[in-house]
Amino acid sequence: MKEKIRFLLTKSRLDAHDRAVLTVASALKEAGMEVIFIEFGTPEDLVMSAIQEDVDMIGIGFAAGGCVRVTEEVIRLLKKRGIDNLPIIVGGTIHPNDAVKLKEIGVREVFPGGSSFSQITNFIRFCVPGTRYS
Amino acid sequence: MTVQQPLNNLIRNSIHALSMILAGVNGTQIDAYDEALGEPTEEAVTLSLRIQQVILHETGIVDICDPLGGSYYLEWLTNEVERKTYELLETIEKQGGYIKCLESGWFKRVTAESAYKWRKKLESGERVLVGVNKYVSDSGHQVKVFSPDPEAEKMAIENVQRHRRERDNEKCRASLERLRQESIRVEHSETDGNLMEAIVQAARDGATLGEIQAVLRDVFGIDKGSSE
Repeated sequence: MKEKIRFLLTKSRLDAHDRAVLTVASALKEAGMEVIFIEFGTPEDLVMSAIQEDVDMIGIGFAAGGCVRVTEEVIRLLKKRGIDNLPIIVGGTIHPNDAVKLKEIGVREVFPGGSSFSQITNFIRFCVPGTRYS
Repeated sequence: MTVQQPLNNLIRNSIHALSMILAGVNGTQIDAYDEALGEPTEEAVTLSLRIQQVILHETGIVDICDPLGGSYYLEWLTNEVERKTYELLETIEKQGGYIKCLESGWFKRVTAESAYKWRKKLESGERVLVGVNKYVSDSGHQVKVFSPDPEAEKMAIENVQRHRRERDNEKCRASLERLRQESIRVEHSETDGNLMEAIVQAARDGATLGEIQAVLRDVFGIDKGSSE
């Protein structure tokens, strides 16, 4: 049994808004998860970090648009490497239309602004079974 | 700024604007009430401007320079802000100064900690935010969210491509190279660190913001002061 959920939390380096995503990082840590936080340059960076860090799940935060395009690319690059079951969640300032599209391309859940810590942590535990905290 | 009941932000912003003016600021910029939902709509931005115009023309507050001058409570608060600021400056100095704190990630860490504490107070209900943890309605937000024109991105890309075709590329390259050399000197502490002149020259010679930033990233690196 795994000790802790390893969670890759990430946002684009091009967008400086990091307060919300760092707040989520603190909440996940307090919930007993191991949080790897990176600011990615390209979707490729993000995918490489996910693989190297052997994470159980990915959370991508967006505050300035582009969420569908970037997430789509992340999913494509993961699939290219034979990874098609790594759960991904997306959060931040997400347009309602984009939230629908994100779910369509395979994002497990979308947490727009206003979501609570417990909604996020409960969902992660639901997605990553077999750990002490699930 | 809250996602829930976003029109409440218009009320919050009006109070913010008034307090800024009471405090004697030199300039104000009021965020649009729908900015927690996405890019603001034109209507929301116009209303932000209207807040300032209402305060300017309808309150009479601009007829006096310091309407709260002499208020015991406010003077006390001002002194408190000053005292705590000096305390914080001392904490920074004790750690070796601003640059050290930036590099160690201390600034980011304390900011993140304070945001987390604030958020937890909301979640526990210790601190009230109207429409978020009290007086909550389940009707969802009814305001329309701005959607950019899908053509806008294509136009922006074409614009940059045309700009790169039409500028004097030789001149632009030379300017960017000069910026690189100046940056290297700064990185090696050979100069005081003012790159503004080289940046302005590069921009005048047609370099894009992205190209200028690429030079700076290349020389100075990235993720300085990031903490996890």
